[in-house]
Amino acid sequence: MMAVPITVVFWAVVAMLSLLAVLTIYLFAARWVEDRKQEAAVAYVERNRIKWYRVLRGLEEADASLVPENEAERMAVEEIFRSYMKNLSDPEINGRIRGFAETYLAYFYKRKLRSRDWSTRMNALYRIEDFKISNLLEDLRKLDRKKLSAEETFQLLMIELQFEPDLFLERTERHLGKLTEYEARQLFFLMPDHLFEQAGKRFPDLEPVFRYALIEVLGMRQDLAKLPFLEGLLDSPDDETRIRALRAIDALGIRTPNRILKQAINSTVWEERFLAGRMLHRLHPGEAAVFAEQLKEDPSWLVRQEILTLSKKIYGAKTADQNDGEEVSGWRR
Amino acid sequence: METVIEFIMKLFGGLIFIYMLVVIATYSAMFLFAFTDLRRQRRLDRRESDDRFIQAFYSKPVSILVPAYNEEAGVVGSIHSLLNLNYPQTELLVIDDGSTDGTAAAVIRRFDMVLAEKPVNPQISTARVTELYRSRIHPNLWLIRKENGGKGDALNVGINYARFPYFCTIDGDSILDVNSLIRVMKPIMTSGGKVVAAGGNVRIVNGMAVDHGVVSEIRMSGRPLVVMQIVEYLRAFLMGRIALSRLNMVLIISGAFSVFSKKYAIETGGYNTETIGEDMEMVVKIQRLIKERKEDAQVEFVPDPVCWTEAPQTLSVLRRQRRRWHQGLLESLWQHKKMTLNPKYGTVGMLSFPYFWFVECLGPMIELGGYLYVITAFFMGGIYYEYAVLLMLLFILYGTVFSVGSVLLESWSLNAFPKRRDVLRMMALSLTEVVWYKPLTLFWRVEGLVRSMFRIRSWGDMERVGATKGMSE
Repeated sequence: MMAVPITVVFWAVVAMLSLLAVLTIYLFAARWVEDRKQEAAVAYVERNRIKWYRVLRGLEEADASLVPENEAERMAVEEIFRSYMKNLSDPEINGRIRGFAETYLAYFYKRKLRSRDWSTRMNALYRIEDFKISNLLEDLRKLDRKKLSAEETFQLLMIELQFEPDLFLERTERHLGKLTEYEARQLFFLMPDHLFEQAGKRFPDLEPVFRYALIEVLGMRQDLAKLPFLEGLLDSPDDETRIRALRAIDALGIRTPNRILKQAINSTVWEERFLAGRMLHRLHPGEAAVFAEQLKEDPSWLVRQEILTLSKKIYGAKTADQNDGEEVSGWRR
Repeated sequence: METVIEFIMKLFGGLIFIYMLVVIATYSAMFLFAFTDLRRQRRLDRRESDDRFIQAFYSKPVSILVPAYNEEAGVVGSIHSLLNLNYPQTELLVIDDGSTDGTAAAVIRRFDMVLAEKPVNPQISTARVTELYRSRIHPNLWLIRKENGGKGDALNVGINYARFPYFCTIDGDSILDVNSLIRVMKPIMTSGGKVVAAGGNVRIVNGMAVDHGVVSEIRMSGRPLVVMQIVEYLRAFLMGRIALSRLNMVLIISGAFSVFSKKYAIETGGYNTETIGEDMEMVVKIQRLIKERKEDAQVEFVPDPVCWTEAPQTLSVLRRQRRRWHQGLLESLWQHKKMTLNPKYGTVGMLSFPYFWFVECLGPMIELGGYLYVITAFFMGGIYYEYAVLLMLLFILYGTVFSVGSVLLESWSLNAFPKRRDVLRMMALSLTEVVWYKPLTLFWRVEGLVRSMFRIRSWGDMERVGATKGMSE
């Protein structure tokens, strides 16, 4: 009775162990190949380090010996470029990197963009953005027409923002459903001014998540001209819009007008009262004390704590946190 | 009489056989999930994505809580690793839970700490805080001394003092890779608050070269007991948690390294100070809260960020640890038993809870029974001999094959152990697991079950060897 299951299980175990043995051999062979690639990449860097320094500093022209001939050498060139771009912020060096990448590396990335492997495509998109390769736009458009992951879509938009800003808003709208607030915030922050203005004009039509991101970025950009717009948002019936608008006003770093402070202090939403408390730090001590009086018995601990910190500042009591302006600044980010 | 024995043996053999088939099928499915997930990200240049998340503008500040009870051997190394983190804005709260050794003194001396004040919002009641120190070298480093109340209580104190909206818990004997916090926070940041808790991958540090809280060289421990635990961690983290995370069914993220939304942690009442497994309990409570409120939130496991932790080096310490873990598991499952097979709790109630009850909690009893059955059947001979062979083969398939498979999967996708010799060593030891390590751990887990039933509770302190302390400490 047991003969059949035993035989089946026995062969299953043998088959599984054999498969694992084969996979082990494959894994070790693949690692060996990878190790050789690494060695070749290190050798390329060693061989050409000084030459690349001279080329990128504009002391000599790139010659054929620097052109990568295989995957390992391409990896080495990428490493060199990454380290220059990460550690130096020199438009001329970046321009030379871009020129070389467009001439000699774009072909590699063109191929990688067609890969079925998600991480290979992502890496290519990262490099295209890093090295600002502009001659692959047609390939990127083709990619854009395919079914992409949220990560690819976002990366593609980041590249399009660099090269085709005028078409950017239209494209972004197609992908709105895929973007998170976090990603929208990055895109808004990196937008050129004229584009950001255009996005601002579409504010009422945007989904709430993008509206919130846009308000946040208004604060990050610290454009005082936007104060009236932000002030207008304080009459919104949506709590979150008002809170974000107040936070953006706070981020502008100005002395907040009294009418805004009064409205926030009398709000039923504790977050607004808390932000009002934080804004009081920029007022003259005497003036701040008058407003603080209204908040010192606030039902919210965070608001009371903010007022306590303010009082210590006004009346000169020194605590360990006094120098730590960030004490509650991370709240609700 | 003989017929009765025959019936019992057949019935029991059949039950174990069915159990093993169910478990093998479950693990195979989990393995496939893990494989597809890891294959997708295998070639991704993680440095690129880390760089994009590191900008303070976009990241969320995190309070790091380090509960420490008699962690004199490892706490300084742990703090060094946390100070080295590649993350824009953190505060570091070390909570000394009434240690009786020199934990506090070591921290105060090493980081030049002085008495200080810090605002506290006592939203969770805890044991009394006695002193609070702040480092003069690193102003974002605090030491909170309190009366002993257990790890859960220490974490609750940390939550009360934390100023940021997310907190990360790290064991006092653990160290983090420099990019691990940014990686574990990634799903929280990108999901726009949908991910309310995330846990990272925990690996064993014993044997590694550690320098000022950083693993400077991957070296595998020479002790088979430690290597076996490395394999076990790989299997548990890569196979089980990836699959459960993809289906939003995570019930355990290791307390050694996890991040939580402070708001959710407070709303669940903070850490349970009565249970042994406070980390699992917190995750279960959060999952319960999410489902009861019908929120679109989730708990996620992230395989890439790594926390290094010290593993027991002796059988007696390992025994206490496993007993305690199992007690914690049973207590959490029992406490929230109403979630089991309750459609109100979605996949967590319908799949995750039954899986944890059947495979993780009661499984050891059945498996240990299987081992006893194999021994008995060998002595009884005849048809039972065949049962014994069949079960033994299933044990090999279940234990050995999945362990070796996990080592290969890890090596292929994440490559934490680059030396071929180390991989071969893990694989060779995996082949022996079924004859020594597995029965031992099964026995200890069953012991944990029995102790839970008789309400025997003790923490069973782990004797630290200071594996995270490193060469230069």
